[in-house]
Amino acid sequence: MSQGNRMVNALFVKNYLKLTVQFFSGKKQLRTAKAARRKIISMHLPAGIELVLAADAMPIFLCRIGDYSQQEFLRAARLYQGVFGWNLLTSGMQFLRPFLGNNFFSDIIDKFLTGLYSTYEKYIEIAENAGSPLDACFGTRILLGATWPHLNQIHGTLGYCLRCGWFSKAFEEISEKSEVIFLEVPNIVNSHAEEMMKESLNQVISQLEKITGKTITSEKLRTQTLLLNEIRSSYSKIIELASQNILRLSPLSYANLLSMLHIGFTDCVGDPKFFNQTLKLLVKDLEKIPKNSGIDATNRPKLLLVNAFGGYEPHLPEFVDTLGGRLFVADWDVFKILDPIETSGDMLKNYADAILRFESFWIDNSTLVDRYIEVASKFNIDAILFNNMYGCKSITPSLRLFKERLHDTDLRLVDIGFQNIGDNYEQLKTRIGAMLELIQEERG
Amino acid sequence: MIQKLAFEDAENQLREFKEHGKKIIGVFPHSLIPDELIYAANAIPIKLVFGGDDHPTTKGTEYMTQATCPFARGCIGYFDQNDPIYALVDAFIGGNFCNGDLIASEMITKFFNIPFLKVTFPTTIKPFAMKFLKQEYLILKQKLEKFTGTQITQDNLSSTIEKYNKLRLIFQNLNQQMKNTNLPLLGEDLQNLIHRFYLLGPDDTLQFIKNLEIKQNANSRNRIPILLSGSGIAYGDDLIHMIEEFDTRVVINDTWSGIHFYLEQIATPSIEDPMETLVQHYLLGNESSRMVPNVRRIPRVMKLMKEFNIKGVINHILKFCDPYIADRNRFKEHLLEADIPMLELERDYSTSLEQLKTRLGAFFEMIS
Repeated sequence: MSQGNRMVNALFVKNYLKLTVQFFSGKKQLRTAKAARRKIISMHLPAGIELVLAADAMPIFLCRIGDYSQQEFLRAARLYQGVFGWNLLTSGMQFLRPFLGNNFFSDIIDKFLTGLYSTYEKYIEIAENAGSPLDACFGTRILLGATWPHLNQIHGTLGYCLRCGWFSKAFEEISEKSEVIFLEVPNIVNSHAEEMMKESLNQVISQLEKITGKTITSEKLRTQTLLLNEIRSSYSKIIELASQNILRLSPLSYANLLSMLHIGFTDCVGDPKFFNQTLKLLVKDLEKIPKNSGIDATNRPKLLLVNAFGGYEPHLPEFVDTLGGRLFVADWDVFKILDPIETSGDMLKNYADAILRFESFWIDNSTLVDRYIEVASKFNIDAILFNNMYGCKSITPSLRLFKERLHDTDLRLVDIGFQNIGDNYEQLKTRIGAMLELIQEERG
Repeated sequence: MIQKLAFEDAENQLREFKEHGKKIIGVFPHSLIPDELIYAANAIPIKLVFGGDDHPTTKGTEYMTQATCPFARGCIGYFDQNDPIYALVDAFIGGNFCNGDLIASEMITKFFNIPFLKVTFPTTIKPFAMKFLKQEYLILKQKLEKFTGTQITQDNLSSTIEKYNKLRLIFQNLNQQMKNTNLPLLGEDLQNLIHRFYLLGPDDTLQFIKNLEIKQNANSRNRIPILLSGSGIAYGDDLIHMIEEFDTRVVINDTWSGIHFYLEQIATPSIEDPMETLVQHYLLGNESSRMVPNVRRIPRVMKLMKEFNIKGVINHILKFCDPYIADRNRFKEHLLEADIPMLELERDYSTSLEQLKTRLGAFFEMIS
């Protein structure tokens, strides 16, 4: 059974559909922003988005922008909803479902996902052709590969100087061709780190103001932070709902939703107000499980993917689902980026504290492992899927620490390698399959 | 001419230091930790410079990923195999110089139970980054004072800086003398001397230099002057020796195991703010490619090329050494534009010597 078949019901959940359409409409978002003469800032991590929004710029995560083979559906859906609204679009689709058949809709989903994977592959190829080191992790290569074709469309890139020096160097490379606004985050949390963080933020603010010609006031930053806090709350709620045993959507729909949110949260799919509203309603949709029609996922072991933000094999949700498990992608929860940011008092200080808090959960690998275990326990995770990403020398050494800590938990761990999409499907399936079998056997 | 410090001699000397109550403080050889502070705290800063051997590197892979540079992995490997010199280390200073240092610091502390004094480095050289590093140095000073039981006074810091500057000057002079083709001094000699200093500290090296005699020799061979840039050369890595076997002379060793230490003197520290002086030197004057943006390497190499009449450049990249891999394309483009012959030598400690020799030989043939 194809992925689309296992997810087809999700397409008829209005807010799931809205989110999907918006997620895949990156190209259109760029065009709209350009027409409105709005400045576009490329983002690669969710830290700093409030600043970009407070400068009235549009945040964009370039990895999301692609040529999707299902553009006809996208165009039709956008056109139809533009005239009749989302309600009529979904009810129209419901109406057509018996005539067109499930396969028609599952094909659409499959094309969306295939298109997304090819987009990633294309960016990796661009990076390699441009001479980016093959030794770099997937995340760094895709960051560069997604940036090069869009240099003329963006007005700046929010670059990060944080604990991974390799990542900072990638932004340095971009800075030779386009403006980079460096946000320097110290790899320690103390009073002078806070001072540095505030000054670093002030510098980011000045640079954003210069690019956009708009002033970032404390009030504007507060307003955007309040908005993002609402998004954080809904996102957290969706992760929690995904961990329940009785689900409104199929486990694969949830796994792909978490993957989509993992990426989409970085730039709030280009429209934070829409994102906020849609997520809020989606939470309501997902909470409403009609009697006797919930999907029982009790027997499906839960696997937490660690870490995800450097990139992972995009077919993982499908593989895990096919093998009888449920995949969780929850990095932003692990790093506490989904915790609300304080909005009373000095906003610069609040924001500096929030970014340092994010830094504090990966300040070293022991802390990171503790946090992963904490999150695994919160969601009753059965096993850790350790994304042993080739080229990552910063986080993947936590594997050894992880293995040592496993003795204190009931968790199991399977170490999966990842360098490029499609490199080792069979090995992946075998390893994950063996782990799931073992868990199932233990459960009797 | 200048013999490599024998391992046993280094070990004996360090034991002697310890017997005299000195603490041995291990640091990575990268250039953001001020050795002067350690020495002023009456301790011996020992740079963890061992490398070049594939066995400890492989061992290190049990702690770090294979995608970490062989030097950092090797460093853990030496601790793991209880290397007699590393076993003498009383405390360890590390930080986030690069991913290798960051992870090696964490693993060494965790698995080998060595007290760890963490220093966090900024990535940029903006004013706030300087202010931040100054605070980090102040904290390091306090930690060192506590650990060694010695107060770092303005006086002993100033005299230490003076001593280190004296060494810098000696190294500069020796390097300058290499312009003289009748002097048999080779890059390997300078490398041996700097390794000696990194392992035994300034007093031993100053004493050693006092007895050093370098005589002119009219029969000295006219060797091709080479500049070696990039990842540093570990004690145990014979790369420079191998390069010079081809009738070349590594006149400039533009790495942490060479000129980065002695290119610039530290200014006389101000009485009110000696840490500011250290920050100015170590952060603003940092010669590595680690900083963002990395603005010093290319102009420095161009200047040295001219001054020392260099005929070719070897860009030495240890596999997975982030700062130099990231800088690779830019460096290559600049040198190509300037029509400077360059050999890019990416390797780890398991790279076949024959393969290296073939590549070196072909390059020297081309530029000779």
